[in-house]
Amino acid sequence: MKNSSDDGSSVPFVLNDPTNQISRECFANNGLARREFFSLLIGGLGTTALVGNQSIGPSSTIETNMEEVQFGISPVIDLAVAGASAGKTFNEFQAFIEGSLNAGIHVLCVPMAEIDNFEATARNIIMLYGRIAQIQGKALIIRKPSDIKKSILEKKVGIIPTFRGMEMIVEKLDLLGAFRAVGIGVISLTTPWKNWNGDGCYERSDLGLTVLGRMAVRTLEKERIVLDLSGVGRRSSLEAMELTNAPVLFSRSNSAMVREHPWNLTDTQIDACAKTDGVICLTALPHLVSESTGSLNDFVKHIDYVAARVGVRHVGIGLELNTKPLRRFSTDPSSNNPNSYLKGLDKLSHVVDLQVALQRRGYENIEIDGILGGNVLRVFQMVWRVENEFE
Amino acid sequence: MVRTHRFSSGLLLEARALQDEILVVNGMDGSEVNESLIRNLKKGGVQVNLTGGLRLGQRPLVSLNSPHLLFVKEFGKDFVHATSVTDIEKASRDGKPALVFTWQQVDYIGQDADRLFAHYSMGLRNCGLVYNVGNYAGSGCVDPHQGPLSNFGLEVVERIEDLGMTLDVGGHTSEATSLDAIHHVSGPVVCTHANPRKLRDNPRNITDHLIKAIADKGGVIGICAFNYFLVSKGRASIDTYLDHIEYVAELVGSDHVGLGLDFILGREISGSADPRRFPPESYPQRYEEWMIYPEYLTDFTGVPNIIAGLLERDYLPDDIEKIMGGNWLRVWREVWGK
Repeated sequence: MKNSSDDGSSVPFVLNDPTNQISRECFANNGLARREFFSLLIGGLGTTALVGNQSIGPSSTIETNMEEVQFGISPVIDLAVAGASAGKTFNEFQAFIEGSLNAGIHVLCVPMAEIDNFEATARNIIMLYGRIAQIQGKALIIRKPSDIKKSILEKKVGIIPTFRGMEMIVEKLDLLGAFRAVGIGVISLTTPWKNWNGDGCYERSDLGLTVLGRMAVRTLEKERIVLDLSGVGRRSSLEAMELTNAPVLFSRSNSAMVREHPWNLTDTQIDACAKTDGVICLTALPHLVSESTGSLNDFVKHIDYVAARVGVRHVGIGLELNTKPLRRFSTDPSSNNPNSYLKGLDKLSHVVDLQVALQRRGYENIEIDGILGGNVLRVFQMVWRVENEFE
Repeated sequence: MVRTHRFSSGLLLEARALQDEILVVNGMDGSEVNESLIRNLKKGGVQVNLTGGLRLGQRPLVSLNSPHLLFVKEFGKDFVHATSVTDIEKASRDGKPALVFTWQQVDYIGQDADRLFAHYSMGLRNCGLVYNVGNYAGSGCVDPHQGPLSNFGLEVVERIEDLGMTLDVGGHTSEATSLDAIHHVSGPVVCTHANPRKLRDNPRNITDHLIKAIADKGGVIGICAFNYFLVSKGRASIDTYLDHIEYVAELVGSDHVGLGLDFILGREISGSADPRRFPPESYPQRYEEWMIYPEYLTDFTGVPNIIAGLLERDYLPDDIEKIMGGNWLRVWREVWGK
């Protein structure tokens, strides 16, 4: 590989062999992490290739049941759960999994990315696998849509590891395939801050995508990773939705018409998301719900708004319970709102109350199933599409 | 008859005599840091080289094992690793070239502006922001959308100023980001290596507006010998290079122009450039074409030809002294503090 800059100091650009790249650049100092990541990688690829052979799957009875069930059951999927991320202790993680089981939440999206640190990110993934092994029987990694059925039938919590931002791979888009193989199913283009893909929503500018950002959108689509646009700036997100052929997600965003906030979505963004047949997962992060301390009812107003505008088919949940926003710069607008929790929707067990509240608002049961998980399941099925290939 | 010299031997003698009296500073170099660079600098009479070049895949000044510092360790007796103008002056008295270390982008610190302090301690004295394509700090010169500094970029610019490094804008960094950075600092800013876009319309070159903004702050623009920034096709002559110096000198005065040759000597690169970072409107797509320099200015031994050319154009010795290095030293003294 040749150096590609007239000062010689830039990172090399195009890589044809992602695994070689991982070994040479990303694990400079940590042989153990490298070995473990590779065995995960091999395991991951193996799993995909062996779908239907129950190589690591459940017993054959359950497999048979699954075929009968098709997608008759409605999963409850929370798209944004920082509460179980790698930064937490094992006990916290375990408590979160048990809490989710008790609350009837079937699938959690758990962020894995460490900004600028490939090794730490890979270690988070290794740790997630390790923790799931430790609390055996209670959780599993979701790699494909049928794993969601599996998690429900086996009464386990399904975990989708996700990235919030792509900072750790810099411009080495070839690495996305390797991350897909170890289960990363949802990735967002930027944090709320600027990176080489585009502008985040808290930035001083609202520029469109860069050339790399456009390539990232296409690569994510090619690798069958769901594009998450929460936190991405308005113009960059609109350009990404224009560019992609796949349905996109906003994993944790509300309506800016209901609560004006740079993180929340304009009607144009909401319309564009619906046009991709994507889903907006509304969040219970208090500062994104209402100006002063809000309640479950204020959260439902966001659901009402998006459902009325583009249809209930495009509504999901990304609650972010027990999460405090990390303040990065003094200009971070999330620091303006002192309220720390949403009345009536600040615990996993309150998800049941959300269900009741939606019923009272007059949503049909089938619509509620969609909001709580069915709609994002549709996105996963459309984007991941792994099973079609191997069945 | 093959002409071996562009300038008469009389003019060259005059140029050499003047060069002996002054300090010659190159405001940007991308050459491999090795013994032959030191020899070439000596041969060309270049006393100071702002250097950002390094071996394949290596990064400057990110640790004590960085190639620059290892080179200093091994060959430090042949040159001076300078971190102040005092160091530079001493090196010149001792007859040794001085190397000053620079970055062309802040990507090496991730999103932690405080890390600049460590690199400053290792000798970093000049810092660019964005290399052609947008990063955490701002947008680059080839980006389809260009805008101001990011929040992080603003932090970086403040740290660079606090630490006393020269802030390097323009060229690789987009005009919008550069103007925003200029707006946020009080002292002089520089553009170490870019050419006037008025003479060669390439997105990598800088507009009159930016040249004036840098000069208004008391800064300096270094003129590149990178062929594609001088001419759109064929090979530039040294007269084209001199035209670019002259253009900036006439636009904003001879206090604000210097050398930023940006040679990439001794580097073995070949094959195709990545068009995402080096699009065809800004860069030749084959690396071999990056090694083309103006006639009579193919490495540091051509530097006396620049002086001869300026003499031929009736520049006064005082102005030549400024252009050949005095301007860089003036800004560095002011920004670095010694």
